[in-house]
Amino acid sequence: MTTAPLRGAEQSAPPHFQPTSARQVKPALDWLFAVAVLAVAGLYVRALAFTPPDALQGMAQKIYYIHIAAWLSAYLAVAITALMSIVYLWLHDDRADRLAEACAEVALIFLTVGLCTGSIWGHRIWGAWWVWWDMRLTLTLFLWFVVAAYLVLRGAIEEPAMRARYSAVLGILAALLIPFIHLSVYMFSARLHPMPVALQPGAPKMSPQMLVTFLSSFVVFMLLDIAFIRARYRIGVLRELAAAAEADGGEGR
Amino acid sequence: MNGATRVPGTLTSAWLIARKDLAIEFRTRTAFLSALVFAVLALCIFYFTWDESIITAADRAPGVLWVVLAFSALLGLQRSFAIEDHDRGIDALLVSPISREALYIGKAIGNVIFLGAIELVAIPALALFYNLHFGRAMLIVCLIVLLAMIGIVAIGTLFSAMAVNTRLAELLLPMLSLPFFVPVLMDAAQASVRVLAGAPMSTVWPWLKILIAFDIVFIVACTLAFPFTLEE
Amino acid sequence: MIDTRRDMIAAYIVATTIYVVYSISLWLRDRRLRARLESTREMDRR
Repeated sequence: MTTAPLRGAEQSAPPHFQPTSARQVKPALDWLFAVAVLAVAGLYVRALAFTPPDALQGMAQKIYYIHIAAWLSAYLAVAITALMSIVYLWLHDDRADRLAEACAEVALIFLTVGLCTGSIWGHRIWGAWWVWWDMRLTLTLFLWFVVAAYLVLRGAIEEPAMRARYSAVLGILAALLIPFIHLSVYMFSARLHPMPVALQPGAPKMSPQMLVTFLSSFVVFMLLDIAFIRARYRIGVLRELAAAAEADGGEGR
Repeated sequence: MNGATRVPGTLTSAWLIARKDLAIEFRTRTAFLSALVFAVLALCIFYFTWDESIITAADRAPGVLWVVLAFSALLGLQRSFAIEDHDRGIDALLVSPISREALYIGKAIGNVIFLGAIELVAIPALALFYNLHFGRAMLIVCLIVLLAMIGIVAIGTLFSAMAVNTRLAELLLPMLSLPFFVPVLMDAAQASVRVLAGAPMSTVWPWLKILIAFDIVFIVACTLAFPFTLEE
Repeated sequence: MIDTRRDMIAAYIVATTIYVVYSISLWLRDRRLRARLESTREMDRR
């Protein structure tokens, strides 16, 4: 492939602090990660030992505390990826691209957790490991595929500026795609199976104790979300440093 | 899109690109013939994947149609930018006074005609092998196919331009495109199932509306996004 | 009420395992990249 001068190189953002050695990059797993781990452990203790089981669903209802929070964290990360894609095409700032990459990878982790826990919950409450008529489950599955495609695309391009532009384009198109999948799945499920009101997930009757656990699970997993994203961002910085160092070494010899 | 003042105009140059691609295709015909044979072959093979005594051929025809259409579209789209990559023909296109948007629209028109030609054979073959009645229902199905094809080509042309520059070109195009085909295929299949079952148009129309909205949104979005996928 | 304790335990174990595996992968990548950077710098110095 011929190398034409790339836009990203000329129109880079105003100079910001650029680390030049690994020492200047803080460790990936730092105090925020430690706080998040402690918070998750605390949430587990509270959810499992100090929160009463649901009258209708029994112990299975406790899956909510990890399931819904995982999806919220995933959607937050996906939203940041889409937003950073727009920012990148606008400002050509490397940091936006790196943040988009970090968020996409973390989103995939949380989406996987959401799908697994949702499936385990559904197999007892719905009587099936998978149901196509549940909108959230189906929508999340397709979101998983889109995020996976985004990460595969990133892995398939070596030229950094091109990788950033391509993945930003995909990020923006994916944001446009989601409403269409949502609408299609909604129409598909609405005609097949009206949602059983008694088992409508997300809105169970909760005692105050359960509600506190439920809401704090959002905060706790968002914290873990941010800690993961930050760690992944720093790994992105290190990776670029390593690539730059190896390119320099190759020229010097 | 008609606002471009340069000569030739956007639509004229888009048509030139489409004609160029189709002329290359017409000279060799290998891609077209293989995609066509693939489509008809797949139609025949899928006939044997259901129990005839449980589901009638007419009931499974729409499902088969959409699976075959999606995959033959991928075959055609793969080719779209691969022919430019061969001897860096894309560089010649980029230095020509043709705007990037016109290049995208031209490529997309070429792909729509390529796919349309395949469907022109595949739909009658489907009707023949699956014993469908030619009539008003088939005409509506053709209209749905056209709408779906526009959406598929709008997305696929853009991803074809991206995939050709990556290390995994052949593998990446389906992986990028298929999630985007999901709403198109879901809407089109649901609409054509209802049409072929003789359901009233009021149950078909909501699906068509999403399909039309998808086409408009992604034609505009992909035309705007396309310049970012080219090397400067 | 059906006993769903086992489902709950399974869900918590699966979720925790995924988080732990991902944390370890982050930690390993961090360590490996730092080691790689150190080694290239020492090669430069020589």
